[in-house]
Amino acid sequence: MEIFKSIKWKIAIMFALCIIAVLSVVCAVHVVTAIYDEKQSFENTINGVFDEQFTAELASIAETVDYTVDSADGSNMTISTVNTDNSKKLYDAVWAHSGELGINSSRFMCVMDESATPVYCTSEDIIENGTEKTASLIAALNGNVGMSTSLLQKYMDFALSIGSTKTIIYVKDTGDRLYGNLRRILMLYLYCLIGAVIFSMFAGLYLASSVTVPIKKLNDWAKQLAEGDLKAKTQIAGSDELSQLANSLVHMAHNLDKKNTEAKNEKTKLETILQSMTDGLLAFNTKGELIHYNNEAKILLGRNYLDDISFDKFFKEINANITIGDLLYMKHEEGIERSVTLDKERFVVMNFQTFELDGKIGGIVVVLHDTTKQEKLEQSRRAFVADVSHELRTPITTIKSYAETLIDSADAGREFLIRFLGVIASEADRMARLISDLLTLSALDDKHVEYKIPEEIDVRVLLERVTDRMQMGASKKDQTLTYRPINDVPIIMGDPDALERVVINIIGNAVKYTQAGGEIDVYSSKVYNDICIKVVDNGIGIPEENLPNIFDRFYRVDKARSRDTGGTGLGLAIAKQTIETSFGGKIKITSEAGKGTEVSITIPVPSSEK
Amino acid sequence: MKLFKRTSITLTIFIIFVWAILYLWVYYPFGKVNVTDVEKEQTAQLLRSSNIGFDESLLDTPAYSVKSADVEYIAEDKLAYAEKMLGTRLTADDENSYSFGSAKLSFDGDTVTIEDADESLKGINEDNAVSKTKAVLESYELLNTNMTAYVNHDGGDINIVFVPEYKGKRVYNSKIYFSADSSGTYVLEYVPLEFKSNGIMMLPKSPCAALADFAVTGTANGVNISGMTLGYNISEGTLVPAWEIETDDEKKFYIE
Repeated sequence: MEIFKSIKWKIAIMFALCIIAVLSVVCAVHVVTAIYDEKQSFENTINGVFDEQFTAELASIAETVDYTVDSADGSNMTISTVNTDNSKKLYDAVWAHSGELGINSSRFMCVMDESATPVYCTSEDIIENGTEKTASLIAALNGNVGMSTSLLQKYMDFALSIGSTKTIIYVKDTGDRLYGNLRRILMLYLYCLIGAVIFSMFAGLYLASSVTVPIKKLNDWAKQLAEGDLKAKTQIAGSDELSQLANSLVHMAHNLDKKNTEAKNEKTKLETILQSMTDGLLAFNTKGELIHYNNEAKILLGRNYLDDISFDKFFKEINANITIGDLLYMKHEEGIERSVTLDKERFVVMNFQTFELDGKIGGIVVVLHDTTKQEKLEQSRRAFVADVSHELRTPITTIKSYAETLIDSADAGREFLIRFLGVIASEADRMARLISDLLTLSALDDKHVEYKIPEEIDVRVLLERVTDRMQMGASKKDQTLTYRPINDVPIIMGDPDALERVVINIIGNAVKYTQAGGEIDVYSSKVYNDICIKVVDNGIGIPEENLPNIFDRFYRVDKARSRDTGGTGLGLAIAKQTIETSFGGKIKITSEAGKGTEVSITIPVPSSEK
Repeated sequence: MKLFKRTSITLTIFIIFVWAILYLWVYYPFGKVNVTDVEKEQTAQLLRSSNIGFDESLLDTPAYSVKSADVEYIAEDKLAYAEKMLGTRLTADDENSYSFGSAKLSFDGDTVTIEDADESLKGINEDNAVSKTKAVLESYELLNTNMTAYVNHDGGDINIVFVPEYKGKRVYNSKIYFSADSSGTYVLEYVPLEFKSNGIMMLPKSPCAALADFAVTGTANGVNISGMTLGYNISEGTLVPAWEIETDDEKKFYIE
C-alpha cells in the first residue's frame, strides 16, 4: 500500500484511528452506563414501590377476597370470577403506583393468575398473546419473588407471588424504549464518527505537514549529501527537534567534508608514496583478488596489465610456491619471503604479509624487491675471485715448475739456467703487472686514486708523444701507425700519466691485434664540448657477441692468444674505469670481425677550459 | 513501518470489535440464550411441583438464535400449480379438482391432495417405504433434501409423515402426509409452501421458559419429558423458533 509509505498519511491515519477509538470507547461507556443506569433505576423503583408495607398491603387485599359469593339467583359464582375481581383490586392497588413504576409503552404491569396467565394488564398485547416465562415469572410460579435486571438481557422484570392464591404481580420492561434510545445514540455517534474521521484526516494531514515538510527538506538535502555534495546546506526554521537535527546534520556534513578532504589528501600521499616506491607492491583481498598495485610492480613483473591476476594462479605461474591459504590460515608474524627468477635474468624477492581490517584479516600485501643488481654483483664478484685466482695460479704454476726443474738440474749449463730463470722472471713480471693492475682497478673502484695536483694536458702533444713512442713496436710488424689531428683541441686539466696509460693500452691492443702491414690511425678532435680521441685499425676485429663484455675484467676474446701476448685481461677495464672516474668521459668500442676496430674516447671539456 | 502497521491494525481491530459488540448488543438478538442457575432452579422446582418428570440436563439444552424466513403459499393460482404437478395436458374437473390419466389433484382450502398409482410402490413395506416414497416426492419436486420421515403402518397401508427442514431445523407444523398401499396406489397431502429468508435473526425462548410454559399448560401433569429440540413453527406467515417437547408416551408439544 503506497499510502502507508508516507509519514504524512501515517500520521493522519493514526490521528483518525485514535479519534475513532476514543469516540468508540466513549460511545461504549455511554451505552453501558445507560443500560446499567436503567437497570439500576428499575431495581430501585421496584424495591421502592414493593416495600414490605406495600407487599403486605397487597397480600392483605389478596387474602380478604371473598371466594364464594351468592349470586342473585342463589347459585354460587365461579372462583375465577371471584379471582378476577380480586385481581382487579390488586391491579388497581399497583396501578396507583404506575407513575413511580414508570409504566409506559415498553414497560407494562400485569396481574396474573397462578399459571402466569395475564388477567389484568396495562398492555392489551400481553392479554392477547401472553408473555414469555422468564426466570422471574418462573420464580413467581413457584411462589417466590423474582427480579431480573441482568445487563446481558434486553428486558428487566419483576414478579411477585401474592398470598395463598398465588396471584402474580408482574412488572416487565421490554427494553424497547431503552434500546430504541440506544440505537439513536449509536446512530448519533456514527454520524459523529464520520464527521470526526473527515475532520481528523484533514487535521492530521495539516499537522503532519508541519513534520513532513521539514523532513522532506532534510531528505532532499540528504540526497545531495549522498550524491557527494557535502557542501550543500539546508535551513529548518524554528528550534524544535527537527531543526536541531538539521543543525546536527549540517555540522556532521561539515565534519564529514573535512574528514573526507583529509582522507583524500592522505590517500593521495599514500598513493604517491606507493607509486614512487622502488619496490613493487601488490595488495590482495581475502578472495585472492588484486585490489591495489603500484607501477614498480608492473615493471618488476614485466606486465602492462595486472588487474586480472588472482593470488594463487599468479604465484603458481611464477613458481613462488605459496597459496593464499598459507597466509590466511597460518600465523606468520614476520611474513613469508620467497625469491623468484623472472625471465631467467631478473631476481625478485617477495615478502608476503597479511593486514587487518576491523580486527580480521583483510587481505595480503606483497612487497617485491628487485635484487637483480645485487645478484649480478655477487655473480661477478664470484667470477672475479675465480678469475684472479686463475690468473695468479698460472704464473705461479709456471714459476714453480721451472724452479723445480732448476733444482733437479743443478748441473745444467748456464744457457739452460738463464733461459729458465728468464721464464721465471717473465712470469714474476706478469704477476707483478697483474697485481699492479688489480691495485689500480681497486683504487679506481673505490675512487681512491692517488691524489695528484691536476696538470694541464695538451692532448695533441700527448698523442704525438705516444704514437712516436709506439712506432717501434708497430714497425716491427710493418704496421703504419699515424696520428691524424683533425682540429684543435683545448688544454684540459687532469692526470696526464693516467690518460697516457689509457692511450698506450688502446694503441698497444691495436698493434697486438692488427696483422703485419696493417694500418693504425689515431685521431683527435673537438666535437661540440668534448675532446674526442679515436684509435682506428684494420686488424682482426672483435666478434659482435664479444663486444658487450669487452670491458669486463679478465675478459678475453681469444683467451690463449691474449695471455700469450702478456696481457692481464684488465687493460680495457682499467681504461674504462680511468676515463669514467678520472675524466668523467666515456669509452666506446665498435668493431667488425676481420675488418677492424674503432675505439673512441670522449672527454668533456669544462666550460672554463673551452 | 512495522510499529505503524501493528498499531493501526490493532486500533482498527479494537474499533471493529467495540462497534460489533455495541451493534449486536443494541440491534441484534444474536448469540446464545443465557440461562442462569436461578432460572434453572426455579424451573426445576416448577416442573417438580407440576409432577413432571424430567432430566435436569434438559435445562442446559443449548438455544442459539435462528434465522427466520417468510413463508409463502405457492398455489394461489390453482390451475398453474396443478399444471406444474400433473403437466399441462391435465383436465380441470372443477375449480378445485384436476386430473391427468390416473392422477388426481384436488384443493381443500390450502391443502393439496394428490392421488395416483405408481408401479414402483408395489410391495411397499416399512423397510423400503422411505426410499420408494422419496422417489415419488422427487417426481413432484417436493423433496426437500433434509426431511425427517416418520413411518407408520396402519393395517394394509403405509403412512409416512415427512417433516421439512429449514437451515437444518425441522419446521414442525409443515408436513407432507403420504399414504400408500401394496398395490401402488398412493395419496399425498400437504400445504404447498416455500420458505424465503428474510434476514432476521430470532432468539428462541430459553429452554427454561419453554419448559415453564409446558408446565403451566395443565395438560402435562404427570408426564415424563424424554427430550426437547429446537426447530421452527410457521406463525403468521413467518418461521419462528419453537421447541418440540417429547414425552415418554411419544406425545409432542410445541412451544413457540
